[in-house]
Amino acid sequence: MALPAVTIAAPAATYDAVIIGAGIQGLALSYELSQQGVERIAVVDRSWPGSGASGRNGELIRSAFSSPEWSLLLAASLRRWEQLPGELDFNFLLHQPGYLILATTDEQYEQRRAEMDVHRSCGVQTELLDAAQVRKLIPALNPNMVRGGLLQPNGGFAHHDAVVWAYLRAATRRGVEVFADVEVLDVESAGGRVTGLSTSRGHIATPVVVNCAGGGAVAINQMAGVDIPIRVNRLQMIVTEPIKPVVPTAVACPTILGYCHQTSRGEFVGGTELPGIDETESVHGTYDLLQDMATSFVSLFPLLGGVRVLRHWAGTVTQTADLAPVIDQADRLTNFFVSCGWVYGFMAAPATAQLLAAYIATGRKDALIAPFDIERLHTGRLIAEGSLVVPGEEHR
Amino acid sequence: MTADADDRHTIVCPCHDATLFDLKSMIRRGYTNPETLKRATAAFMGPCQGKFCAPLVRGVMVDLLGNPAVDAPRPTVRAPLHAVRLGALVDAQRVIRPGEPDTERR
Repeated sequence: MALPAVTIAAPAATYDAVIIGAGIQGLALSYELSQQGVERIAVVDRSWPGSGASGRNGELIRSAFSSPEWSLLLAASLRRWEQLPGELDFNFLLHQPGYLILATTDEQYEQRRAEMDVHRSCGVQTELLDAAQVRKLIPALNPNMVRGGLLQPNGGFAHHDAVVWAYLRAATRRGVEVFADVEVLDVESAGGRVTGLSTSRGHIATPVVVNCAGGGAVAINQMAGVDIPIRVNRLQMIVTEPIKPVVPTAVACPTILGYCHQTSRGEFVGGTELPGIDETESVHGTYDLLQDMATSFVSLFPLLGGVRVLRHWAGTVTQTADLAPVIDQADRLTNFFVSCGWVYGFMAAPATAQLLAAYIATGRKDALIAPFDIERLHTGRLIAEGSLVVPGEEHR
Repeated sequence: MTADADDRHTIVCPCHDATLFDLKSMIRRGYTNPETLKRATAAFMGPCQGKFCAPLVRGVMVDLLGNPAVDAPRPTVRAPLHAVRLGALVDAQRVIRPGEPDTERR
């Protein structure tokens, strides 16, 4: 098998719970479910663990959002992030040098200022920086792009592949079985309850199924006959050759719909988006995005004009009308749970997994995940979050 | 010198100083697909993007795992084929230079 701790034998005929998707959501959930006392847990993935968006994302972590729903869940997640290296016994390079949301206009600056009331009420520490303070913090920024910024001093990033390995090892040490190259062919049910899965490696009977399939979540919901309005979106990123440290914090910039940071090896890593959904399952990059990333990042950091891009890649996510995730049980299919619609799934996984595991094991839904239900997408009572660097609904 | 010590001094990926020892230990630990071995050792991820190391890494994998076990020749090749300066890719109509007043891009 392709990764340590991946189970080589075929899946057993029955499990107490089966999680579809061995990305960070699925693996973290399997670990937390086992902590809840669920004994026989399987995670199945059509490829190898971490092969999807979990290994293709910007690996950034923050809890400063404009809405209490996002800020509270992500604040819980950040607290969990800080526990994980010790608890999972794995150094996945959690760095907390700060996360700056850059304001390039007066309007954005005032918006960031207004959000600080939400941060205070949610226990998220943030500081509003004026233009001079931002330029002092990150001298490499184009002064013409700096009106000010909101800094979360304990935000940052972690090495995404290593986080997957950490959860994978911790989960399998607790007896979770993780299977690579297992394609789910059908979700089976009887009397309004999940009963099992038909897979490319045989039938699995189970009373609980969780859809953590990332970009593949739409197809799994369809197999289950569950109507959840999510759509696939392709996101793209670049990495440059290593350079001296010039970007000390994680940076998000709503003006360019972009986010970036510099790795400990010195590579500049980031992505931007163009307006509209790029609805495809392809994970190849496109020239329009490569040009947009070059244009946007050279505008932001003029010195990058002389830095070589080494690699350009893509990954797929699913997203909802309000760009918030869906963490819920299907209303017409008992024990079919979903953790999908994730665009900020990497940073939110630690707390989400813990709270969803408790919901699955006890039936009690924590207030932090309750807002992210399926029903809101049908009734239109959407979550208003204004600090995301992700494009909205319309097609490109 | 022991075989391990030799391996520690044999560089397979000069971009990231990944040695034969690094590669062998990660393969033995279970990173047995070129895609996962890449992420575990940083081979293929430097400025050469595998142009130098790919045949060497494959050789190590075949030595340890046997030819049939190596199910892919190397990780996916991504654009650009050669490293390109970001400045050469910008849209000159849209890029904002220092000293220009307009920060309203969209």
